[in-house]
Amino acid sequence: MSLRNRLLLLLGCSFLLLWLSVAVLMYWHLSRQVGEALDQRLAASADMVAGLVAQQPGGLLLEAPSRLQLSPDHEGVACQVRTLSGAVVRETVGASVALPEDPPPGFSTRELEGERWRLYSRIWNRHMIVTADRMVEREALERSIMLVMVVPFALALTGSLLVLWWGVRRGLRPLQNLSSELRRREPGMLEPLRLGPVPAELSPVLATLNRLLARVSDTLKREQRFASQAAHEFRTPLTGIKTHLQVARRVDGEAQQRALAQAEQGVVRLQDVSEQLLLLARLELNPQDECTPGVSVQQVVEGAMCDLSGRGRIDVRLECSADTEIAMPDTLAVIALRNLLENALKYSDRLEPVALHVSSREGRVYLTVSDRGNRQVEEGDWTPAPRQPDSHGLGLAIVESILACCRGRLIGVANAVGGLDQRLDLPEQPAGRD
Amino acid sequence: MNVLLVEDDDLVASGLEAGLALHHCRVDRVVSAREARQALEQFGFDLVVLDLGLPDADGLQLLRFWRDRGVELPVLILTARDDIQARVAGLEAGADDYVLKPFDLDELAARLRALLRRSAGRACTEIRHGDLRVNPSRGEVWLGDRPVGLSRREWALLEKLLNARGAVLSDAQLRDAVYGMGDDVESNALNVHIYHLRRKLGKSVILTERGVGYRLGAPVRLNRDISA
Repeated sequence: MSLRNRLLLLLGCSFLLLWLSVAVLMYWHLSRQVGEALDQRLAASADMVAGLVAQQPGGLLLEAPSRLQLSPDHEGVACQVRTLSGAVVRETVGASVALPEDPPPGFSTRELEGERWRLYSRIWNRHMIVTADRMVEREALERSIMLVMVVPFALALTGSLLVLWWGVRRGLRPLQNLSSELRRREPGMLEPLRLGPVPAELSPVLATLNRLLARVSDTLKREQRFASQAAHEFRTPLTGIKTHLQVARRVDGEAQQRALAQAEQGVVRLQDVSEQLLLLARLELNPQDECTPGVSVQQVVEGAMCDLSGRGRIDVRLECSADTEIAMPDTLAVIALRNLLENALKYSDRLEPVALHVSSREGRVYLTVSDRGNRQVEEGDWTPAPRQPDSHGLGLAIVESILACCRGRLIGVANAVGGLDQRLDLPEQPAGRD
Repeated sequence: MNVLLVEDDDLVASGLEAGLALHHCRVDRVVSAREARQALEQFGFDLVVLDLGLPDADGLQLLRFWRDRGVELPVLILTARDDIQARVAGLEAGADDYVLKPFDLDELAARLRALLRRSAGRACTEIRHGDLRVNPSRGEVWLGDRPVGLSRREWALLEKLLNARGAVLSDAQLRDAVYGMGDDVESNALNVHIYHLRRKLGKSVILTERGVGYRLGAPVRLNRDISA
């Protein structure tokens, strides 16, 4: 059930229940008031008759020639005046037929000759005065009152429900717009939602949704980039292997051995890529497993540069103690730094040095790898596109994953000489901890 | 066929160099966009095999740069980027073909030959010049019904002249086709190969245009040009 229908049902039922309760209460109260008023009328009538009787000098005579003509046969109050011995001295038309002979004093309800009566009797000055109303008349009056009360009540209730429906519909329109917008969207649409002005209550929802969409979009782009980089990292050595094997099949002797050796080199590269991807998978599944710190800065630098092709171009500058410990496992720290160095060596001019600057400050260790890019911007009309900090290889994706599980950060910025500064910001192991 | 290979990965490049050499291609390799631009400015090539992920620039940028400056050389993009957008972008940037890594060496060589054939305005695989028949894919040369054995450099020289379709080629152009970028060439080396070709295919197969260069002669007739 939609939120709007649920709200309408809830409010409608509450309205209906409340109004009906009030109506029943009012009806019950009014009915009692009307009954009491009619009873008072009976009593007042009896009192009035008693007053009249009292004004007759010597009382009322039995042989009086006329009867009280107070009302027609079937409407109004019937009245009977009797002596204490039971003889009727005065009565309204039809009253002798209708009224009982021995009503108890005060109010009572009786069924007489198929009709229900409300009776009032009192003894006054040696006379019994009985007044009576037909219940049918009383009930008809009650029904009239109820009708007069119910019609405007029903109209008001219907009107209220209509206003409620309109109000809820109008009030929930921004929500409805949001719902329509979301329903209209294709699964791949990740642009921010634009609904124009929205109520204050919906603003945080919209803002959160847009933030979420932006994050999903970023994640998807990162995943696509990663998949593309992973494909590239796999395909390149695979291409080398396949090509060299095809060559090896067609040549013999030394050329064949050379081709096979190259293919083997490709296999080693492929194995490296696979291992890095497996490491990445492990990091994503159980990041804590790989994060039992610590390792010294010197170990990390030596490990990262060990057997690194082009290490002669790396200029290491240590501005903190070589024993400064990084609060992360040695394997991960070495892989992260090595990937940055490999990228810098690969994507910068082969004649230019790559700087590795190590420092520590306020509980953090910084390893900054700076290259000088490719110096070619001044050659004629050739203006290569600027290099992007996140544009190169699977290595950076792996570095980011490693850092994500070890409270580290990677900051890449273009430097003044046309290259890149990639800075590893890592937590320092507090002194005295193993 | 003289190929400029623009590829920064040593493993792939060495495989391509060795593999294309088996298909009678001469391959000169460069590793960056800068070197590729310089190579194309200084040497003559029949076509370019271009990787997209170069260390100093994107290969597409380099391709657009060439096309904007009227370089009409056939370019085959060889890359690991397999999405449709990348392929469309590559072809629209001016590439003549787009091949994904990893590739089959035979297929790549066939595609390169097809590109060269189209750029030379030919539809058939076999090149005919009178009684002279050359099959680049098989590396065979026939004069009438007699196979003719050619060295690698003679083959490159003949193919260059045949693809030029009678246009005059300078010494430098022919030297680039025969020796490429890397080899040191002695001043009379080209004349030696021309001499050998004339000896094997007839004197009139290559005509000397004094002070300008050389061009392909009239179609070779077995009875007229060569004594059987």
